[in-house]
Amino acid sequence: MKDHELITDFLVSGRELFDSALAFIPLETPEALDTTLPHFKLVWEGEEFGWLALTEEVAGRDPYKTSTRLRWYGNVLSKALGGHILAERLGEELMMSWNELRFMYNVTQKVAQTTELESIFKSLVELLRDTFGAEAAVISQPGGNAKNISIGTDGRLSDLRVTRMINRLAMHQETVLVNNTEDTLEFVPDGLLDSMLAVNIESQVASSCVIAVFTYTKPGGKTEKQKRSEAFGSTHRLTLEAVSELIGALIDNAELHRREAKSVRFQAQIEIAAAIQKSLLPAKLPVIPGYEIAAGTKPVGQVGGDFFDVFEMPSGHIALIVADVAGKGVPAAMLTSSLRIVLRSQMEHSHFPANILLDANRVLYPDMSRVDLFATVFLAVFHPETGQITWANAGHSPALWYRAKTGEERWLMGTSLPLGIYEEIQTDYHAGHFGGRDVLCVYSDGLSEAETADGRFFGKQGVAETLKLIPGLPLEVTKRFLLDVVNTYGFHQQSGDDQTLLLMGPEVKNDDRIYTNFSLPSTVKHLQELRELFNSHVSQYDPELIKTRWYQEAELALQELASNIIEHAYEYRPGLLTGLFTISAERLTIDFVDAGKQFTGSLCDLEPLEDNLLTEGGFGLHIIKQTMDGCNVQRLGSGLNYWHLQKNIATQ
Amino acid sequence: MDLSFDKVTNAQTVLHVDGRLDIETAAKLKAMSRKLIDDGTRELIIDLQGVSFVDSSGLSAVVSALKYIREREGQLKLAAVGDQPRTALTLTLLDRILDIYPSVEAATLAN
Repeated sequence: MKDHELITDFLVSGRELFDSALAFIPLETPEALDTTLPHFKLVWEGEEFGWLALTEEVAGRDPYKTSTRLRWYGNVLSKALGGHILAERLGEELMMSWNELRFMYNVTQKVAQTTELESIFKSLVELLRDTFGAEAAVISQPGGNAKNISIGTDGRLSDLRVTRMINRLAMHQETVLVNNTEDTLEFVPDGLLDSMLAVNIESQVASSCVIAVFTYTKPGGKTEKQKRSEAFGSTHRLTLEAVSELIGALIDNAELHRREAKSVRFQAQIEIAAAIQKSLLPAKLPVIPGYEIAAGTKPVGQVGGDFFDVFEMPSGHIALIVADVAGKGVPAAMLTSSLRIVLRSQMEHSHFPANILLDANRVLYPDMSRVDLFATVFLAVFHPETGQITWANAGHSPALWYRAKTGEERWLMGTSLPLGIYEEIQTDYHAGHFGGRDVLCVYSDGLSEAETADGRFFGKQGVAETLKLIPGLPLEVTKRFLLDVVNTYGFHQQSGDDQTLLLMGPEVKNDDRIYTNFSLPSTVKHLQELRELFNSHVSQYDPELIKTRWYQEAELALQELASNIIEHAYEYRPGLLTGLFTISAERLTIDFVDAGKQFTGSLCDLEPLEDNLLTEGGFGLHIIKQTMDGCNVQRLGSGLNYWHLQKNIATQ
Repeated sequence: MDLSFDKVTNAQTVLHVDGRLDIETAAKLKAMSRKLIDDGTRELIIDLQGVSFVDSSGLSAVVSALKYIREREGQLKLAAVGDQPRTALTLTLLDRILDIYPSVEAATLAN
């Protein structure tokens, strides 16, 4: 005998006893229970499974008798049915769990096949319809318009209607579980739906994403019972929530993947741009007897708006150019390429700096004004045979012409506005005679505008002062020293500017000196690296020197000076130890520049050691003074400290 | 730099220093000497056999140990001082006030 037959027989047989029809109301349909009429909760082994209830009111009924009988009758029914019904329900739950497991397995499989969200969602909505026994399933993707919504339906739900519904659901934020048409009206105005279950998809990168399943009555209709059996329950809800979490993760991953791919592509393009820009710099600088030219450029990012160019013109003149396109990064870098080509082509025909700049401006103005960029250019034309130099300066930082004969520092100021601001510019040019021992220094504002943490600028004076600090060096060494000093000065600068430097000056003839530039973090840990550099510097000159007391003393002095700077100038704060080792047959020199506190003591008036032997500390300066043949320290105008140590080799 | 020590007697300790004795390591020597003196050492022999380099910070640590043990009526000796450390001691005149012995053995036996 099946459960329902047993129940029917039992209820029919009770009718006489209660003078009323009896009904068994399963736990799943509490709405069928009229709580105003006598009823009894059916429990089997502690678990409720329904009610036994009267279906009509009987006049003159004895409430006590009715309740007792109902209890007695109910207990019999519980004993007869409870096990069966609960077992059946358990079976259903098991079935559901099994379905859920199989569903999640299928979902995972679909997800693993591809990373394309659209195709994943397409297969998912079909799976959802099958598993949830729903007429329609919807997943809305980031974006929230009809295009981004995957719908599995028989066509009765139009795209527009679904889009509206999804937007309303998304505003709800919480899971919506409705099993009657009336409550679906909030979302679908025409009352088409029987039930709906919608879960918001939690995503880090997208909002308004919803996953939902719906049932509705097809033409031909559904019985109430059918509708009830299709209603969504808490198991459905849990399953859909699990799927929504998975989809949220999918959307996030897809977005991450997209961004990564984009950044990898972008990075590759930047690298190409950097390589192109590098290839546009002269591979070799022209060799002019008696002169040396040194130049370099360092962009802040991988590409920059600065460039230099040095080349021999068809007329035999040497062109010297430093330019700075306003802005940084790719847009500026692209313009530097055009600028370089335009300047080069203008110089095919002319060696008059003013004309070259005027013509270049005329050619470039239309393009530059469109993108709101402008460029500053310093352009000099040098004739090595006669020493004649002419220049024009379109809004660039003043270049420095150091005239050896008079010791004069001449600043080559702007002669016109930068290129690209007006269609026509007026410019002047200047000319002079460049002496054999003169130095020309052209730089970009990345040097002069190097800034300290408290807002002081290196300035053109900083450039001039540093150039004079160690005279008579090969310009390649001077260039590195100047750039290192600028970086020591602007060490705490958040974002600097591109740096470009071009130097022209006398060639250092018969130079037997060895030079080692250095610039290291000012930490105790880096002292070893400094000593190793020093060791290799001295051994390059003469490996035998390393074994002498002379070397022991020089190394000790170096260690003392560097420790002193770290401890007392920088007070262990981050900075740079910058400088230069030089060695020749006569002497070793050690030059140090730091951006720490000023040295306030005096090297000349050190307290005699004899009086202070038991003080801990203060030995360092004594050691330096005694081991070196020359030692002085000065505070530069820029605010840097400059130490110069010298040790003669002949005295060993 | 590594430090190790041998207790010859309760009051006599040999402290072996191995490596560079400079700004990076001096504090370690200073702390260790104080600990040994606090624990009863009254004759501290600093063995510099394994020391290739001493700078002014290293010298300061030695002077600090010297003062600390003298205040407790003890004695500090340096033993097996190499080439560079001797240069540093001479330059700072510290060779005049420190007892320097050619070896640990000589230092241990001397009064």
